[in-house]
Amino acid sequence: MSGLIYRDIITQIRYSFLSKLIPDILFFLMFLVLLGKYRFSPLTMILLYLPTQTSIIPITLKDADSNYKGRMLSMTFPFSKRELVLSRYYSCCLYQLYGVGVMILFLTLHFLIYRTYSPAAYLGIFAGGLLIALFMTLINVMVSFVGNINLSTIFYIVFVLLAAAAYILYLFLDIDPLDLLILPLPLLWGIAAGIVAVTGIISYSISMKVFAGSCR
Amino acid sequence: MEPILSVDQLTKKYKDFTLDHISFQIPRGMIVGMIGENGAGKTTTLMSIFEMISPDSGQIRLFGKSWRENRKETLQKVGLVMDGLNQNPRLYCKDLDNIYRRIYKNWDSRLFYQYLERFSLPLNKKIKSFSKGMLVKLNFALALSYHPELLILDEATSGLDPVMRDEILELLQEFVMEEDHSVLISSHITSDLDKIADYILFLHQGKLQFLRSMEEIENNYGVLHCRKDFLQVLSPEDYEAYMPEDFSCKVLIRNKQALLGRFQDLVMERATLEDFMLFSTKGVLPCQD
Repeated sequence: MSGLIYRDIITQIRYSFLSKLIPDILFFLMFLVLLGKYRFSPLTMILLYLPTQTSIIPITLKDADSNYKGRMLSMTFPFSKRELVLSRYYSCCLYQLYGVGVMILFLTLHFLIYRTYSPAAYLGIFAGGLLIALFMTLINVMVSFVGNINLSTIFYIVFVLLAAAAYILYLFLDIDPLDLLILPLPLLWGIAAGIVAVTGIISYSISMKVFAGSCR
Repeated sequence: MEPILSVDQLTKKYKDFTLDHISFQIPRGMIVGMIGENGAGKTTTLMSIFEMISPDSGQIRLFGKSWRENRKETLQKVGLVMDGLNQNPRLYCKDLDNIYRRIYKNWDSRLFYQYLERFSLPLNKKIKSFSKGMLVKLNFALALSYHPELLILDEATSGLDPVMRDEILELLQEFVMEEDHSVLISSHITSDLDKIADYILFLHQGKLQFLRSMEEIENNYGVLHCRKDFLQVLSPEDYEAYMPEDFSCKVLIRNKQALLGRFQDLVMERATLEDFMLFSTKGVLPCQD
């Protein structure tokens, strides 16, 4: 499957490397330099901006499948249907490593410059960002298998707007994130990781069923 | 030696079309041309081999093995060039080399770059800058570079200039010089098939009309131009179909040697593959008289 994964990742890079990198750099500097002193700055960058950026890869690949017969071409490769679907999940999740790298860099710099939160809280923000990115990505991959490119794009936009709206509401209500941690931390993270894992299983099952049924 | 591709009772039903119990075998070391009018079922047949569509019934065996059970292993040895099925235009040729060498065990990077040079394809430009002819050449370079045993071409040479088409046909003839290699080529450019095909598979309205060798077609079939009253002299076994014209008839003769034995002054032209297609769609069959 490494060939399929490589193809997906290189397609994403060739599609939008510069057009993605430039806003990423600008937002990075804005949240670190201009707005870094505010408590919401690392939260916005890690929990909202980066997950929405990295979870777009399923849409890019769906565009390649739809407009350039990428899926039809994949059927000529020596892979089972299970591998064709699974490789898409692997490549989209692997692509999150880019976001992970940016998160680590941002949080490290933010901690060194501002020390707004404790190291444990920074670690928690990082874990939260990673889980949100994975969650959004898994949902987007499933929608890309279930629907066409228009549906996938609309769903992604709605998803991002809902996430942004929820986040802005949370900012206006002025809630300290540490106040939300009413459950013991390990249990909380266990629940969050469990939600992402179950989402992954359900997402893959639905995608596999739809993909197998579409070759008719 | 077992056939390289064996299709048995392949059936696929759509609302307005049925691929109706198609059965044929592709022997090793041969070029088989598939002809038929638009909508005859050629692409449907080829897409079934790659599971792009799921047939309602029938068996497909590649290299003697059931294709469903051995898909991964068998597709390592099958190359496909299909009109309109091109690579992502945002990629470079070097990206394709990196992708394909991770997919195909027998991928030959050196051979791939040799083909790129032979076809004058640029390495430092994205595929979106390629013309249609260049895309076709790239598809051939990719399909040939992992040393397949079976090449399947679906209208692969449409869009190529005559010089390039000739070069591709030469490539295909080189390809089958290996005794275990075969080519299945579906094309409307019947003159190309006339040049290189060993066998012809003729589909018409979802049904297999025949699978015959070119030698048999050349030796047995001919086109006769005659007066309409001469048609009454012929028996229905003598011809496949006829096309009435203003004052004469064109007749596709089935067994020209036998007919020439009875009517020695007859002048018959060689029946081309285009003639077969025209007579099957526009001709009158003997039973329809």
